[in-house]
Amino acid sequence: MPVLVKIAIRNLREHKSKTLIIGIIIALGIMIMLLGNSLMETAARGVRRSFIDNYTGHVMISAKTEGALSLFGAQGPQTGNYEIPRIPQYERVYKQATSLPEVRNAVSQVSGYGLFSFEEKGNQFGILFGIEPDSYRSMFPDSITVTAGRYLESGEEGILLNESKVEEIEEDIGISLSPGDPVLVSGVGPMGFRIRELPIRGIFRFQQDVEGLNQINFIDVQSLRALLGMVVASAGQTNLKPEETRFLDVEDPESALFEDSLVATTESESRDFSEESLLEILGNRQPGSYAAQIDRGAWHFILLKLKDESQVQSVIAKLNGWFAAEGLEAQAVDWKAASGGFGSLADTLQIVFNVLILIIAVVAIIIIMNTLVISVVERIGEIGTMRALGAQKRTVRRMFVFETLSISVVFGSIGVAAGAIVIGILNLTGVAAPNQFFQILFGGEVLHPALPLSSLLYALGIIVAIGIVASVYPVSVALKIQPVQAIQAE
Amino acid sequence: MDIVKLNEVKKVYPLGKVSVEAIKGIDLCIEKGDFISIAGPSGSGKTTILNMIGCIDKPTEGTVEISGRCTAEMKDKELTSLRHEFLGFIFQSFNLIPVLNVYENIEFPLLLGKDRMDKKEKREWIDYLIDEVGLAEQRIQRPNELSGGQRQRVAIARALATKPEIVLADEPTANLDSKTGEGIIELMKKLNREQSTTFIFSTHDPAIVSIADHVIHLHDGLVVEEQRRQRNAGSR
Repeated sequence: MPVLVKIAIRNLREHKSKTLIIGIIIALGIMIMLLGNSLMETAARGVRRSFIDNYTGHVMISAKTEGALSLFGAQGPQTGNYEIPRIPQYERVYKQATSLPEVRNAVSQVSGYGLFSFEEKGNQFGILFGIEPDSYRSMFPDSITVTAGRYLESGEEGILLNESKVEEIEEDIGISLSPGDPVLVSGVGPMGFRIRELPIRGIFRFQQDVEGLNQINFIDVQSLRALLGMVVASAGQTNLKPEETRFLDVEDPESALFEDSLVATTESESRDFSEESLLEILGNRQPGSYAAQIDRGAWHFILLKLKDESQVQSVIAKLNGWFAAEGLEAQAVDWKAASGGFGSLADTLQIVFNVLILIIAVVAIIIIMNTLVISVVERIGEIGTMRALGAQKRTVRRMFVFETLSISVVFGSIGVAAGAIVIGILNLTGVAAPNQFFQILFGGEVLHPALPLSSLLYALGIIVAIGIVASVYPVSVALKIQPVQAIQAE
Repeated sequence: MDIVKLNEVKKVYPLGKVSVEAIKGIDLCIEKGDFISIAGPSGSGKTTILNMIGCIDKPTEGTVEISGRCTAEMKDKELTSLRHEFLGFIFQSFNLIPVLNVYENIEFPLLLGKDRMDKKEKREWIDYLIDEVGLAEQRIQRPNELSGGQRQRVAIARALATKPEIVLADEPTANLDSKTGEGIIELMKKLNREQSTTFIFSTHDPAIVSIADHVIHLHDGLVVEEQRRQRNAGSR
C-alpha cells in the first residue's frame, strides 16, 4: 500500500538519529562481513587451486588407515608416521581408478622422510616425494621451476633438491650443493635405516612459495622405496604356528643345542639320497635369490585429477564403494584430506569467521530491535488510532516490516558498496601475508581478494534477513496495541 | 430504527488484585440520525461506553449490537472491518498521523479495506470535507502546523471520510477553548443534519450537553437520567 510506504519513509526521515544509528550498524556490519568473506573465500580458493594444481590433484587414493592420512603421512605435514601403508593390490586399484570416465589424469607417489648427511659436518631433515618423473610432470606440469640442473628423468636414480633446502644446508652446515654433487640420504623403514648415495640432478623452487611445503624434495621412486625398505619379502607378515615357535620356550637354549630335546627322528619318504636330490631340498640356490627385492609395485598414493571438479564427491563415493565391495583396505579422499593441515586450516578459519559474523549479526539485530521497540512505544497513539480507524493487524505489520526493510536495504547497500570499493583497492594493491600462518592461509605470499558472486548474494540475503528478523519483536509489540490504548496514550 | 443497542452491558477492569466495575449494567438504544451526548463526571463510564459502542473494547457481560450485528462473538478481524465500515472516531487528543498532511490524514481511512470510490470520487469527497470543516487553505499542512481547533476539524473530516453510520467523539472539545469547542459541536450538528450520521459524543461540559437532542447522564457506571429533546433542523 503506497500510504504505508509514505508513512514508513516519512517516519524514518522524522526520526533521523534513530534511523542513522540503526543504519550505521547495518552498513558497518555488512561491510565487515563482505570484506571478511571475500578474503576468506579468495584465500580458500587460492589454497584449493594451489593444492589441487600442484600437489594433491582432486582425489587421493591410499591404503585405509584408522586416523587421517595425508600426502605427508599421518597427522599432517609437520610430523610424520614412518610407516605409511602401501596401497593394497595396487595394479587393480590403479586400473579401476583410471577407468572411471571422470578421471582426466593420474599419478602415483611414495612419501617419506629422509636425512641428508654430510659426514661429521651435520644432517638436514627433508620430506621426500618418490615419483616417476614423466607421469608426475604430466600431472603437475607447472608446480615447480628448475633453477639449476634439470628435472629427473625416468629410469634414473637421482634427487631434485628444494632450493630452500639447499640454502638451509649452506647456511647451517656450510656446504654448497650443485647439480651433479652426490648426497647421502638415509631413510627409515621396517627393517631399520637404509642409506643411499644419490646424485643431485637438479635444484628447484615451487611456483607457489608456501613456507611449510619448502621441505619437499623429489626423488626417483625406486630409491625411496629402497630407503624405506619397501621390499617384496617384507611386504607381508609371517605368522608362525604355536608348534613352530614351541622351541623358543626352552629355558636354556645353549645347552639345548647339544641335547636331543630339539632333535626328532622321522621316517624319510624318499629312498634317493644322491647329492642332487638332497640339494634340491634347498630350492633355488641362485645368488641373491633370497635377498629382499624392492617392490616395484609398492605405492603409497594414487593422485587423480578429474575433468570436472564438481564430480569429486561422486568419484570418491564410487571408489570407496568399489573398495568395500572388493574387500580392499583402501580409501579415497579429497584434496583437503590429502593436504593434511593446510586444507582444514582454511576451513577452520572460515568457520571461526562465520561464527564471529553470526555473533555480530545477533548483537546488531538486538540493537536494531530495541531501537525499533522504542519507536513503536512512542507511536502507540498512532498505531492504536490506525487500528481504531479500521487498519487490520497485517497492515500495521506491513508498515513496520517495510520500515525495517527500508533501513536494512538502503544501509546494507551502502555497506556492500563500501565493501566492494575496499575489496577493489585491496585487489589492486594486494594483501601481503605478514607471517607463515597467513602464507598458508593465503596459499602464497600475497592475496588479491576478489568479490565472488556468492559473497554478494550472501550479503544481500543477510540484509533481508536482518530486516525481517529485527522487525519480528517490534511488530509483535505493535500488534498487541489495542485501539483503546490510542485513546489513553495521547 | 435502533442503530446501536446495549443490553445489560457490564464492564469490569482488573486493577492488580482488585476489580473495578466501570459499567454496572446499562441498557441503551440509539436511533439512526441521533445526536446524542453521554454526560457525566470523570469516572462515570462515558469513555468505556463509547469504547464498547466503538468495538474497540468488549463488555464483560451483556451484548452490543451495531446496525443489528452482535459484536460479542466477533474476532479481531471482523471487529476491525466493522469499525471501518460503520464507525468513525474523533478523539480527545485529535490522534492525527503526524507525518501525513491534512488531505492525507482525511484520506487515510479510505485507503484501508476495499475501495468503495474511484480516485476522482475520492478526491472530490475529501475536498468537500475539507471545505466543510473550513480547512481549504491548510490542506497540505501537517498536524504540527495547525492549531488545536484546526486539528480537531481534520479529525472530524477524517471521521466522516468513510461515510460511517455512526461517529463516536470522545470528549472532542476537552482540549479546546470554549468558543472553539462550541464551533466544533455546531459543525458536528450541521453534519448530523445534512448527512444523517449518528453522532455519539461524550462530554462533561454542561454547555455542550445542552446542544444534544438526546442526553444520557451516567454516574458510577449506571444511567441515572435519559433526556430526549425534539430534533429540529435549526440550531438549539
